[in-house]
Amino acid sequence: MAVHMTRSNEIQGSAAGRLLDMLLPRPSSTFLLRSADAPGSILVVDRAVPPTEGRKAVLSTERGLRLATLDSRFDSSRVWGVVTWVIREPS
Amino acid sequence: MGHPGAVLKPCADLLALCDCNNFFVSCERLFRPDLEGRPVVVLSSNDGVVISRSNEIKALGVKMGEPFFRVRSFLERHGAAVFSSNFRLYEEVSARVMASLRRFTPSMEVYSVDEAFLEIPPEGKKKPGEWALDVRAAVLRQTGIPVSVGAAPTKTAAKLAAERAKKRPETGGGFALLPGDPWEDLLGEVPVEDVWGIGRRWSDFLRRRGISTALRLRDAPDDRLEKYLGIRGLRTAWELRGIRCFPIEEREKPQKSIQSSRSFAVPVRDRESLAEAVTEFTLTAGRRLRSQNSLAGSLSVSISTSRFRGSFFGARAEVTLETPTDSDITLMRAAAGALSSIYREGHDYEKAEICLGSLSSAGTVQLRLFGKREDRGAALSRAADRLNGEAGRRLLLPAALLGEKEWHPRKDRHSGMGLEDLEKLPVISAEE
Repeated sequence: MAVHMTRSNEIQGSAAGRLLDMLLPRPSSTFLLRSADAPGSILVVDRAVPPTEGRKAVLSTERGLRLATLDSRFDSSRVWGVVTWVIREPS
Repeated sequence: MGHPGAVLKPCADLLALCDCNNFFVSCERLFRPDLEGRPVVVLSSNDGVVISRSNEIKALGVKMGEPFFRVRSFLERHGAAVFSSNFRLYEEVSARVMASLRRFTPSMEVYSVDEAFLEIPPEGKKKPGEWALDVRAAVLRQTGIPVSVGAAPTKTAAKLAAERAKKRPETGGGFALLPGDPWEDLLGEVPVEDVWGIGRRWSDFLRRRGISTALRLRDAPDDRLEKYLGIRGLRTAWELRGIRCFPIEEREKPQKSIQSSRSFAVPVRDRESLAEAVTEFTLTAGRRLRSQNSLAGSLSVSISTSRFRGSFFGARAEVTLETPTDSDITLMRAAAGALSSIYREGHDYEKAEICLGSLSSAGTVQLRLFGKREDRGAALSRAADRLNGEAGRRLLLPAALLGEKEWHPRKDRHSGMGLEDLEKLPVISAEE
């Protein structure tokens, strides 16, 4: 399965198109990642969203990208992107 | 030819070149912040030669195009990260960079996978240097890819400005060569072969005649330039004088020919394996042909052995197609015929190439699944393109290509990551 970030004319305006617009409003700055701790789920990460306290975010670290919740002392230069959606199966 | 200044005024308008820094390496680093500051290289298909280098690798003196086997232990000693090329990832990242750039300009030309020319909008023209830095910051924030932006009145000058922005950290990644500013210092430092469109082809010739820098090229007399280099070369010199000769070409020009070729992981001897490879390349070329809505009027096949081992053998055959076509079935048949006319037993083939030529526009051809044989083939090929495109991989392919192929490129160091295929998304863990 491939998710094309560019919308084809065929799905524009359809339910599928509107769902993609909701999940990926800014395709050029949005990345899909998977979480090692929740197999099967997909993280939607937008690099253009300004990070704020309390949000889930992906951080750049010397050991790679890490998922974290931003506390009051977060360093914005280390924020790779902000998690805007988590797509997962109901538990 | 008289002096151009009489009729052609230096251009007051500005354009920009946006060039991704060490693009393939930057793509590999996108999800690997641990590689920041470390030496990283990307190898060509089949892990043959170095095709992208991080700044740390450049500082170590490893050259572009260096065969990997020659620098392998050197790279290991310096703790370099080595990647096989992942062209699907690079294309996906490129599409985002280009989408990100489009918001900054009314008109843009995607020049290559990692470069685009942009018309600078009116608000940017007041302070082009600042505009260049804004573009760089936005692309980096949105896509994670560092770029250099050069602003100038002409494409040839914008190329040099972007190069300066890339090489000098103090520019912050943006640099402007403005009309009326003195360009002599910069042009005097640029070797003539580094001027866009000059390259190795002409530089030896020019150097022998004392034209060794961009500045000397700019100031050479027109009649000499036209005699040496033709009209294209003369225009290059005019562009260095600030006279715009090459406009931004927004519409992607359909390619005049389409190539598909690769080096094999292991040398191929037998006819069947070589035919399989040629069939696969034909399908790749066919897909590109249909995606630009063209028909091919001719097809050529080239095969060759290694230039480094044993005695060299290479051969090429060209077939003119009865009617221009975009049907995989017709193309595959023509390729098989061409191959059998040049194949010789007893050689270790290392490379094969398919080239589709005499391209014409497919226009608005009605495709009928039950029409003539040729139409059916074309309709089938388009249906396969669609299915494979939606699946994000090769779902539908000729039975001849099923199974493991020993000649497939070796990709031992492939990151395996992609942005769009859900099976290839990067996996991250929670912070401890």
